[in-house]
Amino acid sequence: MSGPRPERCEVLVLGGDVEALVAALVAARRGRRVVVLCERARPGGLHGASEFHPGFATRGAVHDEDRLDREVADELDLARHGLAFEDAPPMVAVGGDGRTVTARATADDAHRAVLAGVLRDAPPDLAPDGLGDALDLSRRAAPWRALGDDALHELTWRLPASIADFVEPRVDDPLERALVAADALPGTWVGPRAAGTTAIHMLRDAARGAAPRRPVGGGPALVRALLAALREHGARVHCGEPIGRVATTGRGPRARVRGAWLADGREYRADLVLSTLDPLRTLRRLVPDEALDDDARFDLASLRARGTIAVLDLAFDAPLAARVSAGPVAYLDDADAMERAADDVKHGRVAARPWLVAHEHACDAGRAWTVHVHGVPHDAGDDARATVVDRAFERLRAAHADFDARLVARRDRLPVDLARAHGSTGGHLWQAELALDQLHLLRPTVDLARYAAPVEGLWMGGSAQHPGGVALGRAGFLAAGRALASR
Amino acid sequence: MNTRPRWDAIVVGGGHNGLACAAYLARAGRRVLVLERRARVGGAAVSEELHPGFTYSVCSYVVSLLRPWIQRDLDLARHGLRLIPLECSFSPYPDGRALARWDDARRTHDEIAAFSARDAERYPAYGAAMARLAEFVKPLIDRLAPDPASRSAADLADALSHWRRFQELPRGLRAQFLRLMTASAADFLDSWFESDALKAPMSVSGIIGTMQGVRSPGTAYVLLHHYMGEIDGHYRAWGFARGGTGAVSEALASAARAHGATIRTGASVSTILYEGSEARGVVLEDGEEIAARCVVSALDPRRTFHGLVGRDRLPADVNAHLDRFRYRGSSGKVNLALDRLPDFTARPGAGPHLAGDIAIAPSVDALEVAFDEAKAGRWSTRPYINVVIPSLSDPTVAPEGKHVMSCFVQYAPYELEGGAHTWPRHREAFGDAVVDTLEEYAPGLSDSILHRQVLTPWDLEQEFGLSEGNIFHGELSLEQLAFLRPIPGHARHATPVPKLWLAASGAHPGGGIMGAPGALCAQHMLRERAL
Repeated sequence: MSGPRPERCEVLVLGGDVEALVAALVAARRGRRVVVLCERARPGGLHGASEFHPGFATRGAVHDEDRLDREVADELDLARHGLAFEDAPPMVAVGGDGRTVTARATADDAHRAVLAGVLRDAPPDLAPDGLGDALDLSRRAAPWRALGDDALHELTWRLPASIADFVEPRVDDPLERALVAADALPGTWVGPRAAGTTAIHMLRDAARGAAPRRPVGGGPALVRALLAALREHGARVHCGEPIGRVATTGRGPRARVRGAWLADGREYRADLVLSTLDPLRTLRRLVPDEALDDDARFDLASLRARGTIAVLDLAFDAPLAARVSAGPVAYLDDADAMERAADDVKHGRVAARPWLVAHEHACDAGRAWTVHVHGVPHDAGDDARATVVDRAFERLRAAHADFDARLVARRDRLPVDLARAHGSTGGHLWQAELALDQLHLLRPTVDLARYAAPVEGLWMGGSAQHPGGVALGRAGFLAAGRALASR
Repeated sequence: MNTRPRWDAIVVGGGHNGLACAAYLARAGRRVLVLERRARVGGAAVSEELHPGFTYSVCSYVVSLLRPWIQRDLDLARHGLRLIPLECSFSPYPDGRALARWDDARRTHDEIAAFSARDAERYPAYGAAMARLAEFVKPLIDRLAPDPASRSAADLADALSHWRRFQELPRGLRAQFLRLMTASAADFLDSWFESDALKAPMSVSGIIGTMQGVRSPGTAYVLLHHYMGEIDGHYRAWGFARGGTGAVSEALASAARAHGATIRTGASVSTILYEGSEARGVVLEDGEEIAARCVVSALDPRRTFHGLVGRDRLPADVNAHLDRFRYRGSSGKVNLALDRLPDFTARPGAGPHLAGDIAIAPSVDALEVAFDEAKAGRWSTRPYINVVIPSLSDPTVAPEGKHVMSCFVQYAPYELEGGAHTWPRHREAFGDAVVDTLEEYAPGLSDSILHRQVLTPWDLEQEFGLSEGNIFHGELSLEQLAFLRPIPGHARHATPVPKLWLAASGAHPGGGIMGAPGALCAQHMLRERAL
């Protein structure tokens, strides 16, 4: 069978999200010939803008750009390509009774510094080999030991603790407790009583740093800066190119990557392929079956990626009267209600009382909101759609008397819609659930944690990789660094 | 005048750990006095004849993980201890099917294959992996708690040896170990098995005694406990003591006495005597003062520090740590005297399937529903029940032809909606829920009941001194293990009060009839020349 001649490059990046563009830029800046295959019509993935109603464009479905790794942004010289930062306002909670509370820092500086170091590095090898690895481990351990006994003990208590137990002695106000939990729970499948939710909160806090900043213009501005930098370094970004499969040679442990086939039959060849697509999609659906052995399949079997968040995009013709904050606003009750929302999801039901986090920005024709509705099962289908919207609207109406008067349009996306549109299994916004057993050297699985897929030459760099889900941009950066160092 | 006190050590609390500690100290020639509040020793490891001819293992009902080295050191067999291993795990399901796992691999394979051929194939590999990891973990529970903050040469060498042993594990097992330490029991089992009928009864070991569900992260590692006994020569870790669980305590007491320890029952300690800041004896409820060179508490951390010692004598950070140490008892106990054996619809008639442990755990979802009720401050209307009928293997505990049935029940949250003190009003309704649940699987059971004892977490606290009814002296959750148990910096039995030691399940390695906290405490005291 002969088709068109395959196109060749040195580094082929599968995916067009922020991690993909970062990874591509790392390679391009080192002089590699890079091609980015972005499946969607426009790059940026969940951080890209999309117009959902005339005059109303989102700033992406995910608003974690205040956790963009600023060292990565500096390293990639994104300021020169138009990226600017502004102070990121803290999240504000609105209670069922209309009362508001503003988030306060919960972390100690010493803990934050140690965890920032954890976010910066690739996870260590589980099987250290020789002096180099031993030195690496002792280098990593040094800041922990430097904490001193009390702070070290305290950190080891906090990391596996539940966020409910963490806030209980520190915060009196039930609404403020819920607000802390609202930082810990997105991306998990559990409630505030679950072990390890404090670790997620602390890691996110460390990613934001003591003085949180965010890109002016949000995710789309970040994507624009990355694309401009990629252009300057000669990388090609092809959009609207659905990927058919990853091309490999050999079987099982001797499998090696050769490039990728597009769905339309065209082939790209590269010795180094870096995928920021969902690992389950990459390895189960795009990589041919014979390239994986039983061990690799068993390892993947543990990966969980059930989204629990529906995304509502709302268009308002003018700002609502009771505007709470210029930053993110969470509509909450208390931690117990969040636990019950997680319980509902656990049993496959839409939460009777979901909790929400809303981001607002100005558009040509008014105001656009992105609302995350927490408490929607990953497999909830069309019959659940009206329920999700109704329950979310009920909360928003209670807080904003002019909600219906100002609302001109909406788009709703359940996890199943996000899964379809973004090729993410389970519609998870960060590709792999955040949980103690899927963090750091277990993210997303033990075998994938060092960014290398079980097929030689294939690397994983999406938000399923450390520190994806808690920090933005670093996973692609680390993956590209490891991939390039391997050649 | 400074006369030498009569006792080298006073052990407060005659539970099995207190007795183990006393026996080790006495064996080293120390003069030891054990003070037990109740009329008999054993604490929660106690056998009592509450209905004529029927002996209940009132609280703790199976012997799990009793360390073999303690049995050898103290020659417990000579002191009357006979362990009878459980040879089957039986689970009936609401749809009329049943699964029994046996001490016989072939038989177990066929049973599991009726639910899933794939699971039946994988089950032996799972067992082998868990057994190997259990072997890796054992030294951790047989030594003092590790301490990452320590810089002593011995501790560094210890840490290095654990690290080396970890590196010696095959790569796949290292991965499994890390997941075991972090995952939920259900998630962990999901990566191995597909059949809910297999996973549900396996997953429950992760929740025993904790206010967690089988889907709560951090519950997986207890799955290992089931494989620790196997390598000590028994099928799994579970067995009965002949004469009931109290026989373990009696054997330990006998060993302690043989080495010269004195044990006084009916002696309730109200406070500690100090010389300066040092614990130098105790005062009994009746005012009697007894001096000693040091004091060992075998009570739980709350009873020890906020009962015997008192907040005023402790630094603020210690009090804060103690306040956040979680008990949250989540289980109750129903003991039944039966006129005849129960007859399970799913596997009718008498048979060896009744002689092991019987798990009422219909599905992972059902277990989570039971947990959801508990989170809302209600006891589970359809709880997880672990049933054993020790009279089938031990004829001494019931008249001929009659039986005792011990039911461990979860969830029974200590904090009910109306407060823990309302438990006495709920006690019998809770007992009815347990019997009703069992009746669904074994019709006719209620008609065969001659006597019933219901213990709620409130009762466990009032009668046995277990704070909030927690059977492990505090939850065995990740942040309350090893060097964090019971509080950071004091995980090696020495407490913030000089000359006061902690020897029970609130210390590393935690709860269960292990004897390890008591024995390790004594060994450490002797090494430190504490007395």
